[in-house]
Amino acid sequence: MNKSRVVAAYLFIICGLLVLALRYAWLQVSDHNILLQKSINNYSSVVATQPTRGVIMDSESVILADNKLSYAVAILPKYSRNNIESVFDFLSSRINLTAFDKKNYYKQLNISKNYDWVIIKDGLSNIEVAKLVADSYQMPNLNVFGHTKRYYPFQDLYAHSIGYVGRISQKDKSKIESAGNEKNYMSNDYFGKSGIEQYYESDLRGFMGKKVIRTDAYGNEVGLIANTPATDGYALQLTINNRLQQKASQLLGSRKGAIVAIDPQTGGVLAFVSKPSYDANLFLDGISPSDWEDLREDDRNPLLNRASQGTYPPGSTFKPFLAAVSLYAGVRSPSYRFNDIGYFTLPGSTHRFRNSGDEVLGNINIVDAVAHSSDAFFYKLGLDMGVDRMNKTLSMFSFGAKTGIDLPQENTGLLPSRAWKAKRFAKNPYQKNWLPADSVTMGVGQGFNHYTPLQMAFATSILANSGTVRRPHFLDKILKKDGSIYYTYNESAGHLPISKSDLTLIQNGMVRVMQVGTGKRVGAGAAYSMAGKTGTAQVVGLQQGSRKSKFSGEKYKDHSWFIAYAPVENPKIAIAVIVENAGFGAAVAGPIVRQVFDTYLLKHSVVSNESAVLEPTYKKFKPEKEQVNPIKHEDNVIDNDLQEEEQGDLNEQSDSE
Amino acid sequence: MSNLTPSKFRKFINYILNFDYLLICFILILFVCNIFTQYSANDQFMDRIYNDIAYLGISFVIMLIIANIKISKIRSMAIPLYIISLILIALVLVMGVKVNGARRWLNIGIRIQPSELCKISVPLLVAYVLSIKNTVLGYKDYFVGFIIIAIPFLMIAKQPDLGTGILVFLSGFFILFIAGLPWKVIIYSIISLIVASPLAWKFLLHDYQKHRILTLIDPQSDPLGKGYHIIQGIIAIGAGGLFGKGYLHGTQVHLNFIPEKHTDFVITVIAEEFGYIGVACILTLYLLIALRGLRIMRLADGIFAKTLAGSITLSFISYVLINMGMVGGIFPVVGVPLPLISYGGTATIVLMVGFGILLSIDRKRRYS
Repeated sequence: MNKSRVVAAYLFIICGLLVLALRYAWLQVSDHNILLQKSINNYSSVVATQPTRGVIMDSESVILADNKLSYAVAILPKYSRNNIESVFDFLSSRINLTAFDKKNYYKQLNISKNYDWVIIKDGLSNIEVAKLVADSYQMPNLNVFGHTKRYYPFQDLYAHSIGYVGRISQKDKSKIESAGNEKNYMSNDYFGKSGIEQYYESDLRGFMGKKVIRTDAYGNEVGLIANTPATDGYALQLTINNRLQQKASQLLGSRKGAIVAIDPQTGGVLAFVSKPSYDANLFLDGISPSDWEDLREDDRNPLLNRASQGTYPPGSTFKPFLAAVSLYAGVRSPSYRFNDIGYFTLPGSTHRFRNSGDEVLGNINIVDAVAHSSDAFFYKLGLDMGVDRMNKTLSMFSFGAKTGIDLPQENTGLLPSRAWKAKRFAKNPYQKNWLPADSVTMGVGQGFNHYTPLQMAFATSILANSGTVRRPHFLDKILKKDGSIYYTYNESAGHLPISKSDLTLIQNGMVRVMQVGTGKRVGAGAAYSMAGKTGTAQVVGLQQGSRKSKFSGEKYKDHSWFIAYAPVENPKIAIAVIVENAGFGAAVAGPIVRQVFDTYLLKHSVVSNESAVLEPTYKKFKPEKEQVNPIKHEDNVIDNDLQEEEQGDLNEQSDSE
Repeated sequence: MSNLTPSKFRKFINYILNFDYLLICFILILFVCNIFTQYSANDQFMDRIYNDIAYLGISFVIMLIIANIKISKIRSMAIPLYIISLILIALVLVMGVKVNGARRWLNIGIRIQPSELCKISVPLLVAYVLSIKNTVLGYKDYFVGFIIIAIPFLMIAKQPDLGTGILVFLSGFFILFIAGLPWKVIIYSIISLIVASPLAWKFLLHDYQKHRILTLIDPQSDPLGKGYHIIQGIIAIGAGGLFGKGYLHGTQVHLNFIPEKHTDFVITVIAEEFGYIGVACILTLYLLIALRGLRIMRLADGIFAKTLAGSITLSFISYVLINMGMVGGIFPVVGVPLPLISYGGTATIVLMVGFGILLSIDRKRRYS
């Protein structure tokens, strides 16, 4: 037998096995660390755990913004890039998947990180969840999970104050990034989009937890390596009173308008209604196009926050404030008397600025002028004050400036000035100068100036408080989960430089409004003392000498104003009410004020206790005992060194909390 | 003990000692390794382990039976076995069970894979043909041998099952090689194979086969597709390091990152849990078995026994090289189990038949 063949056979075996031995040595010795890390990456994944958003409640702990469990189906982008259509087909045959859901999915996909679950559909019914879970083996990459989701039990009642949360948008994302909070949000998270939800986002949100889990090749969780629990958000207790808010909303009914009630002694907002409103729950997962069309194309404009962003000429409700600053400026004195002949004419002009109803009030002082709402008195006062002085002094009542309420958006209204007019009418040489007639109309709250109901309520509260300024705010307390107080709202009060005696004069005028003046029907029979002022804001300028105009119909009807506070001796509530296109202030807005006051001030009386029995009971905030959540370690034999490093890292984080 | 007379006892001892008991011993050690590895690879699923042990036991008995058949008798079975093999492969092509686009199995009550039989019958017939004449072999003899190899090879490649086809081809080729196929022919064949390979790429290989070869060159080009097996296998091997993660604690294996971990990728279980030490032990056992095989070849009498012993040994090592080379990322993915370690089945039985023939050849020498 050929000897070379025997040698070759030996060589073949020895060389072959040697090549294998070297190859495996290369992999197992020199590439060991890289490949070991890869095997760890294979099985361990970091999962963020979501904090529960803090609830928002009223002054009596009724929950106004709650959380409820919702089931969603989601997918990791890396599994869906190529075959998302087949995933959609799979889902369509089991759940109600609309074209809108698909569009929403792509929108979310654009801003999501690769390792975040992208939710395809939220709010699954129990049957849908059962169907998906039963067939989940067919689509192992889909994840059906429960999560807490914002829920507004009063739907539209707080849409303009509490606002709503929604899924993070591109805009929110840059906002979060600029605040350096991107580590505390996942791309499919909820974020405060408006109102208090937006303003107190950082308190309500809480902090995400981190869980290192062990997964198998299909991404199924098979064990826990380390866990840092999430810290839930703080609960907010507002100054708002749900019963009052409901009552106020009910009183406005289907009319357009706004009601803002403030506790003058604290600045706490008691009621904040803007009508019409919308269901805040609609916005949670991106409003559907049809709902959005409905809201946007509604000419009643439900999206407008009339209370803090809608501005109206204040009409006669402006008069007490102008009267107050005229005493302060020395333009009028308590002893000043004026002969009201039913109209006012500018020197050298024949144009008559008429009293409302052409009423002739005769010889009156400043208190009578407020009580009977003498237009002639205030036409002249406007002229005598002049625009510069009015601009300077009225800003003390926060006219033309933000009140500083804890809402993300607020309108400043407009307290006109010469500079403003010159800029506004820069292209019109005949109008850019401030004319005496402008001051005259401004004196009765018409013309250029217009303010938000919030500003009017704030100014009223300052007046009620005899010059003590308490900035309006919704927040009362920030509470921890266990009910202990984390923060209590406190801000030192400011003071108007107007003397107490001057303000008392104006207050007397407003008390007389309710006794003998334009609001006497509103004030009749009240169990407490009341001060107020009616107002009518013209929607369009009227022709000389005529109360009838070509502008007829509901749309051109005047807005009905009423500002008030009570009890006079110790004011507990100050209010501004506007009802759009409702005509004379005392007729529509007045009775609303009276009922709101009755509800608030007589709440402990026998009568309201009876009605309290009939009231439905709402879910209330219950403090939870803090759960001790120790870090759990799985008994882990695999590669202890590396895991200890991981765990050590996490331990540090949790210790520092 | 009472009926065991001293003469009978001596005969029994002789019988035992006349086996190449070292070879049997090495095989049994591998069997033990097999059972432990399978216990881990099957996630401690005992039913599978019993099944595996049954396969090992049956194949061991088959080996002992064949070891007791005279080699001349085995030689006389060469032609009928070869014909039966061809008929069965032909039947597969006509009425085989189609799995994943390939017809490899024949369903006759149980599913059998006739191409496995060729691993025995082809070298048997080639060795038989070369041993008919007692003269120096000429080109004509080698050519006949080549034809005997080529017919089943082409039929198996047509199934398509290139992996098994190549193994069958190798088992026949090793006979020709040991018999003295001139180096000239071997070198010319290799050169022409290299020249022809672009043509084969274009006309002979199926898309999935091309894909496997491409994936081998760059596994990252398709990390979630065909490259996945290779990448995860390599991670498992490397993650094991020198000493391994410990028995039953391989994460790659137990968290399902390794597909076919109890069959073709079984070496990853050993590599991850026992580290390079484990791999080296297995390689050493293979080497020892191969050395025993080559010893039997060297000492064997006659061209039939010599070539057959050589072919069986070299084929055995070829399986090891192809399987571990594939998992280690130096060969394309071909469906070749790791000898005596992969989960039982036909492949183990065929291997043990081979060892049975080796032992039979060895016994002939011992008795002559």
